[in-house]
Amino acid sequence: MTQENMTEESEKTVFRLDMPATFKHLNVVSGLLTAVLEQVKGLEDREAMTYNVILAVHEICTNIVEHAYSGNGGRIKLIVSIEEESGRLLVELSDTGRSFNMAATPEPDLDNAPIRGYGLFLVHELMDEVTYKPGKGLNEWSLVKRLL
Amino acid sequence: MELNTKHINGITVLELEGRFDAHTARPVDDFLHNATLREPAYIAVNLAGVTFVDSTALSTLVSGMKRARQRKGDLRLCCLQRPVRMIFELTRLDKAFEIFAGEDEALQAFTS
Repeated sequence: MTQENMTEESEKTVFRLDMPATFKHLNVVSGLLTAVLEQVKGLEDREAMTYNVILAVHEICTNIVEHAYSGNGGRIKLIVSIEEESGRLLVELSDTGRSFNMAATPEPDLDNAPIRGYGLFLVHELMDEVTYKPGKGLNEWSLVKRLL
Repeated sequence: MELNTKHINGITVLELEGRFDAHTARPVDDFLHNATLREPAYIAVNLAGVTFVDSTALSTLVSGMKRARQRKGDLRLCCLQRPVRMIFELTRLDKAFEIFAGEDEALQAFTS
């Protein structure tokens, strides 16, 4: 994990993580995000905000482990950038597994308590912007949350 | 995650502690499968010690609840921490499950 201070141009603090795509390591992502958000001053309802950001990023990681790599390993690269003045949090994730068509993912019918389909729904609900760019050999996710 | 179980007046109580997610959900799923083999399947899941639930945890609980209702019983939840409760509200699962503030209330609801 590395940290860069890019104070001159964007006033961002950036953290990078390159980790195995396995369920058992996803608590490392939670630990990183908790530590990053602890340093943001003036967060309203810090407990819920931290939980929600962690859950959204966790769901993308889970999706990568399960669907992009089908549980067969691979790696997840994650970049967390925080603009401390504006409180804009950007989380970028990438994998080299199989891509999928996000637009074709059906919305869960929440009135009937479906057994599956909550993951991407939660990501969209909990984050302000969600972008997925599938590519040949590289799929990229971008999640934005305005914290302040 | 830790699983503790007890049986009180025909009700199976499952107490969970820690992160309930894609990495830890399997033993819970296995337990709920077994607990819903008998009829009626009365199950109370105490989430007091659960600090994190993800979509796999939600799926596991919904699946268990539906099986329990097919077996003329129910799977009820209690003692949700606030951020966990908020996820149930966001997914409208607070309407699908019977959720109680305390374990005693959840148990009493099965007998009343």
